[in-house]
Amino acid sequence: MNEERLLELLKNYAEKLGFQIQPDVEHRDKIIQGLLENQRKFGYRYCPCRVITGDRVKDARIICPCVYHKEEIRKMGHCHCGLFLAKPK
Amino acid sequence: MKIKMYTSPYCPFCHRAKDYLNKKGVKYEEVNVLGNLRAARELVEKSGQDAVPVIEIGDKIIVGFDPKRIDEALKT
Repeated sequence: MNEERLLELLKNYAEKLGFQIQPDVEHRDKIIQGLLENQRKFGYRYCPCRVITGDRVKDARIICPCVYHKEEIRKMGHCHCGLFLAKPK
Repeated sequence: MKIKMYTSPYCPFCHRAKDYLNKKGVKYEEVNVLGNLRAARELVEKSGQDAVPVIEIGDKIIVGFDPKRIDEALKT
């Protein structure tokens, strides 16, 4: 998996759920690099803005797209890390 | 006043928070929680959250990058 392929997957996911991907390329790319780095180091694409505890069950919640993202987008307009945003109305 | 910031290297809001404090000339201790289970546990205990950045300013805990809350905490 490289950055371009992961971006494509994330864009497709966002599109399907009615979200959008972070338009700030620097911000977006930092997260994508973090996801890939976590995959290399830990085996899973953990959110780079969440804490990896070492407990596989707990940590499963923060594999991107994390369990929190839909609620956060609904409440704040974006997920915690800012990768997914609500579409402008 | 003691200031401590819990961060992770690929967290964009952590970088923004660091830039914000650096521009203000505020000194702080940075703790990278990536792969540091002790620091990760400490962060969760203090903030009740599993997210970074977390900024500890005196007895205030700020989760996420929130310039308004940072400024308020720095004033007190």
